[in-house]
Amino acid sequence: MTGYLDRFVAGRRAERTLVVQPRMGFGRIDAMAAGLREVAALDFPVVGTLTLDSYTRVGDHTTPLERLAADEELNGYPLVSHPAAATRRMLEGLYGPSFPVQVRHGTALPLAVFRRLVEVGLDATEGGPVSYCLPYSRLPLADAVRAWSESCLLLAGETEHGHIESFGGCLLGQLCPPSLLVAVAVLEGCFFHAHGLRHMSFSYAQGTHPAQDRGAVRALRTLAAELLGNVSWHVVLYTYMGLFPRTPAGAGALIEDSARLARDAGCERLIVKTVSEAWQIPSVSENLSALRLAAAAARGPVSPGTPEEDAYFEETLTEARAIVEAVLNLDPDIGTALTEAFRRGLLDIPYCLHPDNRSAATCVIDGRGALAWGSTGNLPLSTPTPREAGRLTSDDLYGMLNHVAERYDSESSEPRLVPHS
Amino acid sequence: MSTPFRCIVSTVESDSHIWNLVYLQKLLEEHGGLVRNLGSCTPVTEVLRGIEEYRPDLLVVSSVNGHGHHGARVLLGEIQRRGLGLPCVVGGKLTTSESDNDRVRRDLIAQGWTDVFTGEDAVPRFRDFLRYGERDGFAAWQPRSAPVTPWDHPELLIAGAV
Repeated sequence: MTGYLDRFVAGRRAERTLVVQPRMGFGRIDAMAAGLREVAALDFPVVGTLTLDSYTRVGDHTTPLERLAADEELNGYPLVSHPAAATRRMLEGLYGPSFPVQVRHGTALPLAVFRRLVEVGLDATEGGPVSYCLPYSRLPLADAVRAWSESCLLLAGETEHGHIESFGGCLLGQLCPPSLLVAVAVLEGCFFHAHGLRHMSFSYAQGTHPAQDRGAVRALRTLAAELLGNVSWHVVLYTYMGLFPRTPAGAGALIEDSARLARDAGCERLIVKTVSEAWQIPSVSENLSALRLAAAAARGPVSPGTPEEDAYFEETLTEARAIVEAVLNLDPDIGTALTEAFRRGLLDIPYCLHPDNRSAATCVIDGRGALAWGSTGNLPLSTPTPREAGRLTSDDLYGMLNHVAERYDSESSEPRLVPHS
Repeated sequence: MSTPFRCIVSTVESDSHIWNLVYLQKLLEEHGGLVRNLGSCTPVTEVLRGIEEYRPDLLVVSSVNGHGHHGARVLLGEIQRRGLGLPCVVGGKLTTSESDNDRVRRDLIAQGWTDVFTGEDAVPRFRDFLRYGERDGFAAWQPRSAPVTPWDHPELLIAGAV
């Protein structure tokens, strides 16, 4: 048996249909309810989202209600601040086998969020001890590991089919070589498994090069099958998370390409961005348009793989496996192994400013437009690094951050999942 | 300013974004800044401690999660309460909607921010600010006034023109 999310996703997979999901969250209960209702009414497979606000993410449960009382907007739904009964009422008649709802939160210390999501009758969420600490918090990693241990045990104990999606395949959202994303996603899966969870998903953020992304998702599936064969899992792709194209045509083309990538790489679920992402928090109708666009783009036959993809697959799998093995060998307790790995630099997230991150590894976009190591720091890799990235200027960095947006804004009407070579 | 200037880069407590902070650190260093980057989700107390310990010539606050307006007000309020007078600038996406930019800019400059950098030309304007600061010091900077939209203009409102 599985929960609503796992069953829904597995059903659509059998039909070869991609499940799409927004990143939507609103501060007021009526706005959130209206948003969920409109998403649920779409005539293609979709999962509902409660994205929590960023005060809740840092454990501040009073400011959200103060800001709402002052007639301001929040960037998400304050699940812990609103009464549980009100959230339950909001979900009544909406949440069910044909409309699973996932709580997205970004908290390094998630116990209060987990308690409340269980209390309102939900069982699916996301994050991870690494992926919601290093990129999104300044708390010590060891604290996040302890909090996630407790929270995972709670979810596993209090729900029948609790589901967590590892955010490890996204980390800072951009400029990270795929092998590290794959490794952290799978390691967090091992962490969830060790804390009693049997239902999970692995995220992967669309990068800069479609063949590299396809190869990386294959590597992720291969490693997950090897290490987590006895759990139910699927892969969720994120539409490009970095600086988004400013032109509607460019933004639309990027969303469509992410949907085709998800289909071609065999991902079961896609977290979709909107065309207004470059400017502001999107409205419900912008979310609906983006979901329609993505669902339509994902229809049609899978385009065949290429030798280029195979090469990226081999490279990503070799590196990811080396990282995962080095970490798992550090300690029988996975939480301790993760903390120790960051201390030694065996895990090291490029550009991450967190005090527990060594910041010796860097990422660049290489001549092929693919993500590559600038420096591998102390990572357990023997990959040759293409060039010294130590002296990146602000313009170099901006150029890399802007690489995808620039490409789509300048040539926005061409489909780009056609291999480059 | 002939010697390198000291600068603290931070964001507001609710904001976990870091790419803006990484970019600003490089930009500031290229303009002669010695940067202490306090990283994401910076608590107010951490910024205050940073200012007291490091005695910077400039505080740069960047926020892109839509809650920066509120966070910036809280932060500068505390800086002023402690009597820590220093040039402070803020920029990014400070509310959940672009259409708020001018109103928010006026409000924050009125509160005492040296300048507010939002919208399409935020980075070029910030570069101008840095060049000016290198030469004449940041405290002497005069922010360009934000346009007042008719519906925000008290005299027009009173006159019933809008």
